Amino acid sequence: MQEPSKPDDEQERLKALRALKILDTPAEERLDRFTRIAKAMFNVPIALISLVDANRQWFKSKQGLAACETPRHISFCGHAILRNEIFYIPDTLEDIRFSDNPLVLGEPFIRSYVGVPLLEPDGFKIGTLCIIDSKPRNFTDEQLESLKDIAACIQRELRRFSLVQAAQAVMDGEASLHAVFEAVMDGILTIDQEGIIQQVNPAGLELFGYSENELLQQNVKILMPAPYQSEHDGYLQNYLRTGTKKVIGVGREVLGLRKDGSTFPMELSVAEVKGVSDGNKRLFTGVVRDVTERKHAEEMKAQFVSTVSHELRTPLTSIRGSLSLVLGKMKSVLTPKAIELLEMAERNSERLTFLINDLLDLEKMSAGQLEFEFAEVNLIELCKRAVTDNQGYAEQQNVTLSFVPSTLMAKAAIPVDDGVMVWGDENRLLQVLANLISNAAKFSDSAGAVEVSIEQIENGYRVSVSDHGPGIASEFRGKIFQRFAQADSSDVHRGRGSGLGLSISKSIIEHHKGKIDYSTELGKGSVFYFELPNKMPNLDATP
Amino acid sequence: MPDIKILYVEDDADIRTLAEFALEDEGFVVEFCVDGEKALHKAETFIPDVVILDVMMPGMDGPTTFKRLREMEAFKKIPIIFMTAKTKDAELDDLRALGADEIILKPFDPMLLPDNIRKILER
Repeated sequence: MQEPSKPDDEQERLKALRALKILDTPAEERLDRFTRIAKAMFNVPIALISLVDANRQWFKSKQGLAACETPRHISFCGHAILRNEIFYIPDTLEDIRFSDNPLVLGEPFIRSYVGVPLLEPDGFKIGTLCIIDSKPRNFTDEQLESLKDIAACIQRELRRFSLVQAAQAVMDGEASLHAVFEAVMDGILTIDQEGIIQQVNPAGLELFGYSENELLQQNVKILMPAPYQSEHDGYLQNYLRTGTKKVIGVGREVLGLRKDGSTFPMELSVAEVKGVSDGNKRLFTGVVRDVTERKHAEEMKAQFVSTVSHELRTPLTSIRGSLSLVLGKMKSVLTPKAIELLEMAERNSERLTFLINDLLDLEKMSAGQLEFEFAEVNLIELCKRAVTDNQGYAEQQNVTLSFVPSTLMAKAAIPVDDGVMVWGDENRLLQVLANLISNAAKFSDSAGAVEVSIEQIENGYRVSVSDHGPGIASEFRGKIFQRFAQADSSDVHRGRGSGLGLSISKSIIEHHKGKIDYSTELGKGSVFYFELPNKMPNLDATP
Repeated sequence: MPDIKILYVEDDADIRTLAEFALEDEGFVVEFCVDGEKALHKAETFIPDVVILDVMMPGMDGPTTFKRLREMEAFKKIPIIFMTAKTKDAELDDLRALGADEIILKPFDPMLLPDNIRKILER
């Protein structure tokens, strides 16, 4: 016996078959009438519509057979779907492929078989119309053609069935879309290319304070205050003319105008409705959301940060100023003990200043208010400058600070004089370097060394700040870039540092689409580095 | 060299004291005012070499005082320095746009104040 092989397009074929959602459904008169006709016309005991599934053939319609399915590997139809033409076996006992088939030797004792492949709408052969007899049969070409005609009718019926299904699916989809349209909290408006409102949902009506009759067929401009009215016209005309998407798809913040004349900040995103049947008409759907409360909360927060900053700075000015004046002008009348205490107070008020500044930076950054000015930056110049700027602090900590053009870089043969250009905000990057350098200096032993170096990596550059301090215990990995993380709280007395520096540095580097990390070895030291991507090829592109 | 005359407008008494200590014996004559109205009144009789203006003050604030002073003929060209605890870029930009000759951020180091003022006057 020869088992039927699998067609080359088996995966797609099965997908198409399953998409019809016809397998294991009840028998249907509209299909049964064809098998009845075939049975009577050809005077055979059995006529079937067989669908060839992954491991079985299943009979959607059957005459003269009790079983609803048989295994695919012994099926005749499995063979029939491998060819485009009709599959005709006049006598199975004369055919080596089937002579020992269990369906031939046992029930239903198939002696002759004719199968016509059935095609689903996309052309995949999902099964057959077949007729079977328990004795050998000789059919004329004319007869075989008639069987093909019946198969064609079945195919049409299947196609009609899938169209009905598709239409039902569209209606179901429309019904659920409509439910969303009615229930959603955001306003949804549909306008045509002239800006005339075609459709508006209940949330949209409530948002603007109109009834449906008042809005339909009005120009959408009545929902916008003056400056946006003309802008909107411009955007729409421009889009229709050039396809440039100034408003389409973009979440923009604009002002909405209510019926009572009041305005409110709203977020607007617009999409063109694709596939509108009327070719000359183009429709656009806008989703609008009232963002009054969100704006209010943002303003409150910004105001709060600003107030706290002011309220903290004013007393701090008096404290620091007084200490500075006493230590600057009256040192000669102070005892050494008093001077020591006053200097301690001065150092700590300075730390408090750093802390407030860092907190503000962090707050601005999370509110997206920290402004970045991106430009071409020469990394080598940047490192040299960071080393110069922080030399004073390094000396204070009794640490040697130097810029060491890396040996790796020499290997990669970058001419140092040409510079290494990246796209970044120079001052923010200096802030990161100052933070890494001051950390390194702080945690260096007296007379230690801190080195700044650059190396080329894949798609960019890495700037490293190395120290030879105690290193960082592994349990702090993962915490070190969090706010107020300090590996050892007893280190706080070593001087400046709010515990926010690395957290801020991380935000800054991430804003540059880079990454920041470190490697460390206990007792040997740590290397903190950040990596920046190569300069953007397109200088206009703001990251 | 004659003393440098300063009109110093600041509502916080401690910071006035600080400035007083910082500037005394350094060659300055300082007239202190606690708010904008008093400063405008003082400006009718006292023409300084430089004005130092706090930004946030009850009553008339720094920027308003600035505008009113600039309206006075005698104050058209006198350098005006803002002293502020505000740090937002937008806020500082507003002060620059107004025409501030200098902005000193709080907390400031009073030991450096005399030199800073002299430098601004030399420009």
